[in-house]
Amino acid sequence: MADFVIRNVKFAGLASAVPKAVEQNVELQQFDREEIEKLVKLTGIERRRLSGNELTTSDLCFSAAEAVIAKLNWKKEEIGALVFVTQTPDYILPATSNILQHRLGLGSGCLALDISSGCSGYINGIITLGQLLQGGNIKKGLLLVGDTISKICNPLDKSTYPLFGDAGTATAFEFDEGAPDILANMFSDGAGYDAIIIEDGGYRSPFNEKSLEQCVIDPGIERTRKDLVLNGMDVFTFGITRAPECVTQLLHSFKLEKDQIDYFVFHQANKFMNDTIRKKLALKPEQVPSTLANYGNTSSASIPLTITETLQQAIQERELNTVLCGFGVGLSWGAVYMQIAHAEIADLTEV
Amino acid sequence: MNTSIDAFVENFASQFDETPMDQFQASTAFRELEEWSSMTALVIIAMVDEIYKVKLTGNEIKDSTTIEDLYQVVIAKVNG
Amino acid sequence: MVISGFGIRLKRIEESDLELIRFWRNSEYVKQYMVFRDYISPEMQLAWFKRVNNQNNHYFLIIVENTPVGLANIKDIDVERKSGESGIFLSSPEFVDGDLGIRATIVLLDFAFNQLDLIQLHQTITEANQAAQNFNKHLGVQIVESDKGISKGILLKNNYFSKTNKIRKILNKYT
Repeated sequence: MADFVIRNVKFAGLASAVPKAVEQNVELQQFDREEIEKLVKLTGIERRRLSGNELTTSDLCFSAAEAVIAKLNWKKEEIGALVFVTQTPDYILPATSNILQHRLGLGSGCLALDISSGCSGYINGIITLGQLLQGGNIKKGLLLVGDTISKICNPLDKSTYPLFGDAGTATAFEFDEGAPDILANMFSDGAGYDAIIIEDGGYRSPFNEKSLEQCVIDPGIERTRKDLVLNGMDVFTFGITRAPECVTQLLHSFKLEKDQIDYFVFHQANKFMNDTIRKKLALKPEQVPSTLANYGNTSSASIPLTITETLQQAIQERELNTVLCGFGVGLSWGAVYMQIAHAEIADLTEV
Repeated sequence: MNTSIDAFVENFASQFDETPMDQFQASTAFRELEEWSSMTALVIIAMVDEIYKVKLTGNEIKDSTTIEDLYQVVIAKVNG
Repeated sequence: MVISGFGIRLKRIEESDLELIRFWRNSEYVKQYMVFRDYISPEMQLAWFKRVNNQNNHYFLIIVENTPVGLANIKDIDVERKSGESGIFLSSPEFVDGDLGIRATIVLLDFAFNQLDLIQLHQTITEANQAAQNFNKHLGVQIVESDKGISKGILLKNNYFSKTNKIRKILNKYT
C-alpha cells in the first residue's frame, strides 16, 4: 500500500542555497548556436548554477541548514535527526550525513541517514523524516536535499549538460501534536533503472580504464561510462503518465479536491514535459510555479528551491494547501499533500 | 551578383508560384502574403544561399517584417 | 524502429506512448484539424493501436532533442498499388513556427517513397488547416477532391522529389 499519513509533524522552515556561478545556455561554446537556441526553447532552461570544483552538495546543504536553523532560532542540540538526500555525496563512504552532523555542530545523539534518491528525493525524504518524527522520540529534524549533477554530466553531451543545475536545501520539520496531517504516496519501478544511470563506478560495473573512454553516441552527444546517461524519451513518457497519476491518486485516496489546493509544486526537468503534466491535470499556470528557466533541473532540490523562490511571500501571508510531486530516476515517483502555515522561509543563499 | 534591392525583390518574388509579381515591393510585409508559410521561409533561405551565397536564419526571418528588412540582413552578410 | 534525419527522429509508437498521443488528440489545438473530433477514451486509444500496429500502418512520434512534439504517419498501405496515406500533426502551436514541421515531413515522406517503396501518397486535409494546404503545394501535392470542408490530395513520387530538391539541399546544409 503506497499511501502514508504522517501525524504530528509540522513543516517549520526552509532554506535553499545555490552556487554563485551562473552559466547561460545560449553562451555554451561547445554546441551549435542555433541548436542550443532550439534546445532552450524546448526545455525552457536558460541558465543554471554551477558548483564547479570547489563546492559539493553537502556544502550547499550546509549553508542552507545554517540559514534555516538561524531563521528558526533553533538550538542545535535539540536537532535529533538529519536526513541527507542526494546522488552526489562527498564520498562513497562514509555517509555524508555523519560529516554534516559534525560540521553543523549537532549532538552525537542525532540520527544521521543518507538516502540515495534524485528527482523524487524530496518526497522520499519527507516520508522518511516524517516517520522518524511522528513517534515523538525526536522533536526536531532536518531534511537536507540537493545535488550537484553538473559534475556528473559530460560537457559535450547535449542531452544532459545544458539541463542540470546545482542546488542544496534544508527543510526543518518538528514534532507538533495537533499539526495537520501530511499525506503522501510513493512508488518504485526498477524496470526502468537504466533510463537515468551512471554505468561505471559502482560494484555491478566497477570503474576501469574503459570508463574514461569518450564515446560519440550521436552528433552532439558524447560521454564516457562515468557520465550521466539520460534516456529522454523514456523519462518523458514515464513523467507525463506517472506524475499526474500519483497526484490524482493522492487526491482521491485522501478525498481532497483539486480546487482546495493553492499550489502544485512539481519536480521540473523539461518545460514541455511539465506543461503536459499540468494540462493533463487541468491546472492553471498560476497554480504551478517553476524555477526551470533560471536554475534548470536541480534534481531533488527542485521542489524546495521552487518553494523558496516563488512561495516565500505567499507563505508569510496565509496558510497554503500544497501538493508536491517528484518523479524520475529509479524509476520512482510520489506525491505529498502538506498544509504550510506559520513557516519560516529564508531568503535564497548564494554560496 | 546583383546586390540591388530591386534584384532582391525580384529574386524573392520568383519563389512564389501564385502571387502576382506586382504584389512584391521592398515595403511588402511578406508574412501577410497569402502564399507565405514555413515552407516558403525555407525556400527563401535556399534562394539566399544559392544567389547571395550567405546563410539567412529562421530567427532573422522571424525578426523581419518587410522584404527590405530581409534585404538589409542579407546585404550586411554579403559585405561581411 | 527509429528513423533519423535533419535533426529529428521518428520513433515507431509503442503502447507506452498511447497516453501521450491520446492527450494530444483530445486537445483543442490538435482536434480542430482532425476529421474525427469526438473524445477518445483510453479503451478507444488502445483498440485503435491494436488495429494499426501492423505492417500496413506506420505511426511515429516526432522527437526533437529527446522531446516528443507530434505524430507522423503513413497508414493504409496498399502493397499492390504502392500507395498509402500520409499525415502529420504537431502537438502545440509553439512548434509550428519554424521548420520543424518541414523537417519531420521530409523525413516521413522520404521513408515512404524510399524505404516503403511507395509511388503515391494520399492526404486528407480539413479546410481549417490553411497552413497545411499551403505547405502541401510546395511538396507537389495536387488536390483531387474537395467536399464538405475536407480536401483529398495526392502526391506522386517524382513530383515530390523534384519539388523538394532545393529544400532538401538547404536542410542538408543547415542541419
